[in-house]
Amino acid sequence: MKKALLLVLLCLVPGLTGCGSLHSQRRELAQLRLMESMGLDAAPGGLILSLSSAPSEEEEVLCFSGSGVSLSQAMEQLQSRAGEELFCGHLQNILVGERYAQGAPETLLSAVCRSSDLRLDQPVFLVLDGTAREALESGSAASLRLLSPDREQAGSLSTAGGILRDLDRQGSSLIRALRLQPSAREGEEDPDLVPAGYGILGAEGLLATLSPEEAMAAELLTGTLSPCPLLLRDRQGRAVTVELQDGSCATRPLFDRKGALTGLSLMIRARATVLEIAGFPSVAEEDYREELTALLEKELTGRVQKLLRRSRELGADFLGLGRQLELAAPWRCRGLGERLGEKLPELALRLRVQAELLHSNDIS
Amino acid sequence: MKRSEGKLNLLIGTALLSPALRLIPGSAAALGGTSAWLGPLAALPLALLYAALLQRLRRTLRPGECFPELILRTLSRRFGRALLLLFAGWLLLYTGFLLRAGADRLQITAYPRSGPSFFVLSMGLLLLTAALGPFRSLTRMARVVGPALFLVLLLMLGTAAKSVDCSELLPLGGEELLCSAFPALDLLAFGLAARFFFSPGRTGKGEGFLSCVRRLGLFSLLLCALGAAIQGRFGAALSARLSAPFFALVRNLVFFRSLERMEALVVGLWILPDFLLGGLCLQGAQRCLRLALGQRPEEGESRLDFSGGRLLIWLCGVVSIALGLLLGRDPASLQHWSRTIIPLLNLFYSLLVLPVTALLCGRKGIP
Repeated sequence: MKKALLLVLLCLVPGLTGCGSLHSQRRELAQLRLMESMGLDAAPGGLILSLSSAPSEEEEVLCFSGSGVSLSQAMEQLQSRAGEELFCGHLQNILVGERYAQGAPETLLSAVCRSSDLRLDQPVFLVLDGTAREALESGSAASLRLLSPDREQAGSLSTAGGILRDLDRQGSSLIRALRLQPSAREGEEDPDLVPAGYGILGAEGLLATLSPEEAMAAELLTGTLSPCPLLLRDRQGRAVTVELQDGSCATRPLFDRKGALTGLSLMIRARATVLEIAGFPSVAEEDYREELTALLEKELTGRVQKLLRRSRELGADFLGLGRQLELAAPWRCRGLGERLGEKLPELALRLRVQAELLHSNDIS
Repeated sequence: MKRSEGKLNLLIGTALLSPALRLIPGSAAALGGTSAWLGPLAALPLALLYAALLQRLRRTLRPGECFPELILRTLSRRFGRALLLLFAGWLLLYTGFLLRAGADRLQITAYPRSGPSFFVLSMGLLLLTAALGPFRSLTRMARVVGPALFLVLLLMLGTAAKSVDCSELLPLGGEELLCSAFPALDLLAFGLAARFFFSPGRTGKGEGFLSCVRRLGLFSLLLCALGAAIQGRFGAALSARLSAPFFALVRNLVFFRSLERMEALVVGLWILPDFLLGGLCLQGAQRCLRLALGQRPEEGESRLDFSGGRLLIWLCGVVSIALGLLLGRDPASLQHWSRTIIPLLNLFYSLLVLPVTALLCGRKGIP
């Protein structure tokens, strides 16, 4: 009796491990095709789901497409068409077509949360002036690896979890945008995917897009700036290229005498190095150095002002300024993270940019 | 009855890892927003007060006597039995809920296309063997799996620490902090109540209060670290929305820049604290039920011995499996059970029924 009971229990234990049990979703490795990128596009009455495989030495990148009313239905159609199991457990990125993003991106984001294959730190990109399917078929999705944020820093912009978090918190979010453009390589017909700023997502869909120039200002304000070149013109009309190294923004609330919020004060600090100057003016000279610094400050001020105007016009706090205010004055700005978008148009903005030239790359 | 306090503490601490991942920071974030991660520390003073009260009440116990026996000895026969039946009912309900919640976790993290019945049934039968066997088999198991589970948890938290965005842990608000203390208080109070329930009276000096403070402090810090790692990655609002935020975190982790998708392994490991907690509750329920029905449970009874009311253990197993199959049949209902009914019941029994009963016993009984 004792042995029989023990045997019955031992038979039940494997059921909890997932190894060949009644309920396991066992997958034979040889029958799996590893997918690298997923694309989503709008279609009449539903969506088009595209998947592209990971490149390997033996095989070219393969693309599969299916459509359906929902993501799951499209995936089912795609799996049955492919004739093999398309495994999405190691997807590197998700591309969303512009028309799909204009719909309800939350559908995708909630699907990512619910899926046992997809991850919350999956980078998500918006494809402008084209479809995600075209982008995957161009075979250039592999280059996205260079653009994808490091998974270790998945709290940064444009991951599925990050977008969902921002939508929850401030009602809008930034999503990295890409654009297809003719290939720069000779003889290559397939277009390349290149960075094209950001898209602004709201709960109802895509609200607007930011050009690469505005994107730089957005990164400066959100503290996610990565080194990027910036072209200035000095008083003599010479082209000066500086590289913005890093930047930060300190946001503080402004109150009136009654304690009501009247505005925001933004103090931006940016550090740059000189990359190129037409000719050989000496950056070591104090006057020229000050001139370049002032030019840089002016340029950054213009870009940030333009971006803040966009934010006010849209009534969307996609830059997370409300959250910054909450952190700066937790007691007085409580709950502002969720409400700042609608208040933005009435608030005064006080902006100050302080730039610093670090060095001129070993030639003065 | 001899039961080492250290082993019992390890058993309870390991068993609590199961509800910890359910409540922290999900429930805490829903209640306390960005202050949720500090909830366990906010709950610590109350938990320490409660621990001090229980330490004092333990003096009522005779050497070798446990709480259920104390109830029968000191209170009137009818009242004592009614109380034991109440405790048995609570523990059976909690066991049933644990079976359902464990099955749900396996379903949403690793087996989305399966139903909960198979998992409830398998785990229920395993729990039955734990209840049929001696209590010491649970403490022995905790000695084996406890350190491994804590090590895995620390490894996960250490790996996740690199990607924590500290701004997600701020701002802190006093009111929110108090609200977010409830889930942690629920955990700590249940742990202390379980320790009081299963720990027999002693002749000599038991575990000192300072040692209890140290253990509670360390456990609260671990819970804070768990909350901070998850909240720092997903933010408070998203953490509150996710059903299993810890396993979502593990799914996103990359170890040594090459190893990823370890969540199935970790989900599999978390069956062990489920088993320990379920076993603990079922042991308590069968003991209360047998005592209430006039039986005398002994330590070291054979698993397949049907004498001395041991058939009641099988009945407890069947009832908990049935409850596991019936409770929270849809996600909304399960979430209601998980975030409202069970925590409130646990707090009610741990903070009110158990200490009041012990106080009554202390008044009427002379150790």
